[in-house]
Amino acid sequence: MEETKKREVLVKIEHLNSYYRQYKKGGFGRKQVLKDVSFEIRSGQVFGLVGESGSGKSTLAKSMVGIVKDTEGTIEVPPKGVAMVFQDPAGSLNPAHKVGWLLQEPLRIRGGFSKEEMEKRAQEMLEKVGLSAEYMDRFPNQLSGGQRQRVSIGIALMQEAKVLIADEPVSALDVTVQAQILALLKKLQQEMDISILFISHDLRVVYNMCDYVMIMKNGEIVEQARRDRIYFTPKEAYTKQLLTAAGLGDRIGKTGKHA
Amino acid sequence: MKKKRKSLNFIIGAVLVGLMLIMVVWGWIKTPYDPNAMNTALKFARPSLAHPFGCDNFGRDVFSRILQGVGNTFIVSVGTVAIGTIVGILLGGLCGYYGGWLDEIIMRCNDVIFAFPSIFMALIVISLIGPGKYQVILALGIAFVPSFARLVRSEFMKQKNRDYCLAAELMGASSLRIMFVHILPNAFPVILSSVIIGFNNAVIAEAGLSYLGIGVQPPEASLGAMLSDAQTFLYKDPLLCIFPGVVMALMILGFALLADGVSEDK
Repeated sequence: MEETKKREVLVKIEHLNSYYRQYKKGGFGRKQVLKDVSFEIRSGQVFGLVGESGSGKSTLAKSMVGIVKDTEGTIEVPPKGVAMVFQDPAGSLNPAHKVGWLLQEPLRIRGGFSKEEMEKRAQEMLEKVGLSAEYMDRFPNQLSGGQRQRVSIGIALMQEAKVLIADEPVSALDVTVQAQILALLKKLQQEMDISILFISHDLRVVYNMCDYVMIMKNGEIVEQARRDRIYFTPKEAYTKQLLTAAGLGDRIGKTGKHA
Repeated sequence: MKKKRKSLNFIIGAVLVGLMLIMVVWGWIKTPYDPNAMNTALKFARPSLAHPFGCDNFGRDVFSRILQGVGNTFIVSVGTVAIGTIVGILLGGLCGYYGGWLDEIIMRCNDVIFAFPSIFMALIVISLIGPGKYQVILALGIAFVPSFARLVRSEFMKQKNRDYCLAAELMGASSLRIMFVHILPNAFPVILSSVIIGFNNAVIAEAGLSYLGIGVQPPEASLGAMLSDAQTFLYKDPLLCIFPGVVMALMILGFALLADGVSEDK
């Protein structure tokens, strides 16, 4: 952890409020979804964001990439440096294009690459995410859920982003495939030295993936700290409640080797 | 990869459309006789080896005229559908993707055109720009735009909220790129089957306009114009009606089956 502290701050969110438009009698009103959220993500860090449904996790991610536009406060992210992996790869991969085309799309948008170069890079990326070159000519609906998520991770990495936002990246997959995808994410994160904002409601998965954990409820931060601090000496009642619900309650208070 | 077997509808449709295309090309290259050459000796001639479909009231070879007529009908239909589709995709795409005020304005104009039957709309346009083959294409094209625009709009509205559009936006793709490179291919199957149906409607509309005498101008042949001429001699020589009528019916049947097959294969 000493090392993490020395690293540069990539994402800096300060006093962020986000709003949605909501229909009320007599016109549109604003519904506040995020309330005074502040945190930092450093380079090479895997930052876990935990919360129940409706706690504002996805809204936070969407505010960071500029999809939710009605925000107050500071959002500092590296310009063009944020890529996103979605929960359901069946929806986030364009069904009308082949895997090879999809992998090359970020390069095509950036421009300045020759056809051969894009092809070569796409093949390398495919290998990196653990798929053989024959998958270049498949359509997304010809892949399994795990393969699709590998492709979408590949596409995100093709954007050469410094920060990857993974919004529930394994929630739509079955358990064995989950483990493979998580291992892949972890491996690529270390190899390519990127930061990940890992959004999940699964505390066990977050424990295995992340260095730093933030708990959210109703759009507010409940608690944020290094992973072991959250898992072994949680301060807030809500955190304890979550841990107990996830079957991790027996660890609370045991300082053990993780202290 | 396993290829799905094409349905029977698709095969029959493709064969009929294929036959039609052969007739079109045949008519363009060379017809057995000059379709406009009159010969009083052959007035109302019965079908024979020399004139397989017989001759009409001016002694013109009906088979040659049908070949030319199919060609004209085909050009008008293709032109009409092309205008309808291209303009429809542009307008519908913009409306569906951006929504808001732009959508409101364009779609309300659309509704105005849509409120008139397409033949009536075409009549209005033709009364402004005069009759003729190319005028008909423009008139019917305009009349066809609203239905395509609506279809494309609803398809774009459905697709634009899916995650892949968001993903493309995050990659930095421009709105135009998202609309036409990312969304359009997904809307394509729906557009394709309605293009084929639209083709049918265009054939019928062209025949209708030619029947009214404001479509393809005589002496040039079109299926509708031939029917209109033959009507006068319905009792004297019913074959004059039957041949172009059957060809048109088969043409429409072919496209209808093809559209069916395409939407089944989706």
